[in-house]
Amino acid sequence: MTMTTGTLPVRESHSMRLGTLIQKYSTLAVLVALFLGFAIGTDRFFTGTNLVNILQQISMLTIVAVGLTFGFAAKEMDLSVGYVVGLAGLLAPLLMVAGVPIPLAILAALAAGLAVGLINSALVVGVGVPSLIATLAAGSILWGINFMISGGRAIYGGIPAEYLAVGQGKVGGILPYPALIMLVIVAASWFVMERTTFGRYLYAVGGNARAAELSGIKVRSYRVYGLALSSFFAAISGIILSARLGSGQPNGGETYLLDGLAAVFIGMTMLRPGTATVMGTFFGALLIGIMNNGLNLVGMDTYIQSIVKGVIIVIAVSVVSRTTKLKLL
Amino acid sequence: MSIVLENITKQWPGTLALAGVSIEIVEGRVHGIVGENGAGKTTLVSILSGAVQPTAGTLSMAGGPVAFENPAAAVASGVSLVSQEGSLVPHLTGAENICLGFEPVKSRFFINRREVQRQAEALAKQWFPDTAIQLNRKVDELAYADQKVIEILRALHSRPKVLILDEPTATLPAKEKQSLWKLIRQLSDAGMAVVLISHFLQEVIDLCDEITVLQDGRKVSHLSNAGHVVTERQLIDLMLNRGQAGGQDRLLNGTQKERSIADDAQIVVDVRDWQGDRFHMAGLEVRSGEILGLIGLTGSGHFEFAQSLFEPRLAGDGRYQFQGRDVGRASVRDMKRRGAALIPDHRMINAMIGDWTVRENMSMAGIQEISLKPFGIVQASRERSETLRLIKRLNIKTSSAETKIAELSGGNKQKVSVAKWQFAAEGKYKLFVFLEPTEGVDVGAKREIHDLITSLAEKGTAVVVASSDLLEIAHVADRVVAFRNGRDADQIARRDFSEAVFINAIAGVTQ
Repeated sequence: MTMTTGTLPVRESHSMRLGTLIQKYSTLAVLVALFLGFAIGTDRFFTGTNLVNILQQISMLTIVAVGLTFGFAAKEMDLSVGYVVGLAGLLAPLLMVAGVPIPLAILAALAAGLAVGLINSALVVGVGVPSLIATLAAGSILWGINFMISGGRAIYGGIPAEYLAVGQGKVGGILPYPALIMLVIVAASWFVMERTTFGRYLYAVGGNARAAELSGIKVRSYRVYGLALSSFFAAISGIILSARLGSGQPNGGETYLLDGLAAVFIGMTMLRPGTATVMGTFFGALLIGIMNNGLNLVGMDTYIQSIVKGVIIVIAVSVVSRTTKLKLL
Repeated sequence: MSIVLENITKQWPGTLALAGVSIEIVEGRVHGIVGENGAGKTTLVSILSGAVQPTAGTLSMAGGPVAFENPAAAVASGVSLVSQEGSLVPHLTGAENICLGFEPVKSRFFINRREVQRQAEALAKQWFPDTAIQLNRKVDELAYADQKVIEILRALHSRPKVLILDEPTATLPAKEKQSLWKLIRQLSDAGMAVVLISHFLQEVIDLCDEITVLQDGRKVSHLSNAGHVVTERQLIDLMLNRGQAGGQDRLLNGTQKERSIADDAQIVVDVRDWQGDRFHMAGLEVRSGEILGLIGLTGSGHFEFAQSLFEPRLAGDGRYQFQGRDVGRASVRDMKRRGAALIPDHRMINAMIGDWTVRENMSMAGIQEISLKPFGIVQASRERSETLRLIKRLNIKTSSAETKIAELSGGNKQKVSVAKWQFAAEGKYKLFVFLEPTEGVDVGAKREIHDLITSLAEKGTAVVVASSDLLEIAHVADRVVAFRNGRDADQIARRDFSEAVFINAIAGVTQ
C-alpha cells in the first residue's frame, strides 16, 4: 500500500539532499581547480589565444554532446553520433567536389543526419528496440557506409574556400566561427530545454513516461524528437569538422561519441543531479577541453590523457548512479 | 513449529500500515489472511519474510524471540516465502531452479547436474509423491500451475517450517487452480505451517483451517474454519466493516444531504456495452454536476472501467459518447482535449515525476495554456503565480513551489495530482475520474480531498470516483454502481446508501 505511493523514509531523503549539495558543486570545483592549476602551472595556458583556442577545440564536441543531451532528456541514448559526424563530414565535401553548390551540400549533409535519427527512432519507438542497441547497430552500419562512399580515402581538393571558412574563419579576427556556432547552439538549446514546453515535455517523458502520457503528452513523438535531434546535431558538428580539417575523413568523428557521453555524464553530476542539462553538458565539455588542452601543454602523452578521461567518466557516472536512480537501459 | 506475532506495528511516514496485529501460525494448519487492498497484507508478509522490519512488536518461534533482519535470516530460521510475482529463471529447468543458489558441485567447481536432478526429484517425491512434475524441462515451457509448484519446491528446498504463499493462484487459469489447492493441503497435512494470502475468498474458505481478517492495518477478526463453515459473505462483512460491531451503520453518520442534480444537466459520459479485458459495462450515464461512485471487490473491474473513461483504448468494444460525441479509440491526448481528466492511483508511478518540483508537476498538463505561441515559450511568472494560487487554494503544505514533490506527504502529493488538472484550466475539464483518491493519505487530508471532489461537482463537472473505501464513496457519491466479476451489477441511489446495501451489492447476495 504505502510502499507503492513512494514515500521515502525520512532519513534517506535527508542524506540525499546533502549528497546533492556536495555533488552540485564538486564538479564545478574540479573545473575551477583544473583551470587554476594549469594557469599557475604553465605560462602558456592562461593567455587570450589559448583560451579562445580551447573554445575552438571543444566546439564540435560540445555540439555533439548537446545533441546527446536532447536524447538523454527523453531517456534515450544515441551511440551512433560519432559515425553521423563522420557521415556528414564526408557527404558535404563529396557533394561539393562533385559540383553541388555549398548550401545544397550542407543541407544534404544535415538531412542525412536527420534521416539517421529518424531511422534510429523508428527502430526504438516503432519496433521497440532499446536505443542503446539500435544505435550501436546503426553506428556499425554507418561506419561501413562511411568507408564505402569515401572509398576509404580522405576527400579533399576542390572544396570551395567559402566552405572551409566555416571551420577556419574568425569573427573580427578573434572568435573562430566554430566557437561562435557552438555558443549560439548552446544558448538556443538551453532556451529550448529550460524555457519552452518542448523542453519540459522532453524531460517529462524521460522523468516518468507513464505520468507524461496520462498528462496528455505525446510520449512517442518526444522520444523521436530526442533521437532525431541528437543525430541532427552530430551532423552539424560533422560539417564544421570537415570545414576545419579541409577534408572529409572516413573515420573522422569516432572520438566524439565517448567524449560526448563523458561531457553529458559529467554534466549530470551538476545543476540537476541525475538529469542531463544543456548547461551541465557545456560545463562537462569545457572540463574535458581544459583538461585535454592543459595536459597537452604540460606535454602529457595522448594515451595518458585517454586513461585520465576514462577515470573521470567512471567517477562521474559513479557519483550520479549512487545518488540518483539513473537507469540508462 | 509455530510462529507467533505479537502486537506487530509498522509505521511508514504518514501511514500506519499495521497497528498492533497479533497472529499465531501453527504447524499442520493453513492460515488464511484476507483483507482489501491497503489492509496490510503485503506489509505483514514482508515482515514475516524479513523484507521489512516492524516498528514495534515481537516475533517468536519455538518459544524464543526471533528477529529477521533480512530475507536470508528468515529463511535460515525456517520461514520461506513464495512471492506473488514469479521468481523463476525462465530458461533454466525446474530442477535447476529448485536448487538455484544451492547447487551440488563436483570437483569443487562444476555443477553436478545429475545430483541437481536427483535432489529436486527427491524433494518433489517427499512432498508431492503422487504428482508428476517435469523437472527436466525449462520452466517457461511449463503450465503456470507447474511453475508455481516449482516455486513452492524451491521454497521447500531450504527445509522451512513455515511457508508463506502470497496470492499463489492469482496468475493461474481456473482449471489449474484446483490441482494447486490439493498440493497446498498436502503440505499442511505433512505438518507444514502454511500462510495463505489470497483475495479469492472461496479459495481461502476451502483451504484454510483458520482465517485472520485485516482492515486498515488492524486485525478485525480471527475465525476458526473447522469444517469450512465460514461464508464468503461473513468475510466480506468483516473486511469492509469496522470490527464485528454489526448493527450500527457507519455510512450515514455525518454525511451531507442529498444533492439535487438538474434533470436537464448535460450528459457527459454515456456508455453502452463498453467492455475491455476485465470489465463489461452494460450501460451508464453520468451528468454534469453528478458524482458517481464505483465499488467492487479487488479485481471486479470497476477500476479498469473508470480508467477506460480516460484511456478508451483499454476497452476493446462498445460505445462511449463523451459530451454527445463518439469517442471510438481516442487517445489520452484526445480525451484531455475534449475535457476529460484522470487522477490515477499509485500517484508516484502514474501521475508524478519524483525528482521534479511541486511547480513542475503541477504545470505538467496545463503548461501550454500559459505559454506563448508558436514556440511554446513558458511564461515563468505566470507558471509561478498559477502554482502559488493552487497551493493556496488547495491548502497544499509545502515549504515552497520549488520543493521536490517527493518531499511532500501523501495527502499533499495527491492534492498536487488534482491541482494538475486545475492549472490554467478554469472550466476546461468536464469530467474528472478519480482512482483511489485517498490511497495513502492521512485523515485530515482525506477530508480536504473529499471536499475538493464535492466542489468540483458543484461547479458543474461530472465526477467518477472508483475506490475500495466504502465510507469514502458513501461520503462523496450521489449514486453508486457496484461491480461484480467484471460487470456492473447494481445501481444504488443515495437515499438507499447503507453499509449493508453496499456489501450486498459487492458480494452479490440478495436480501
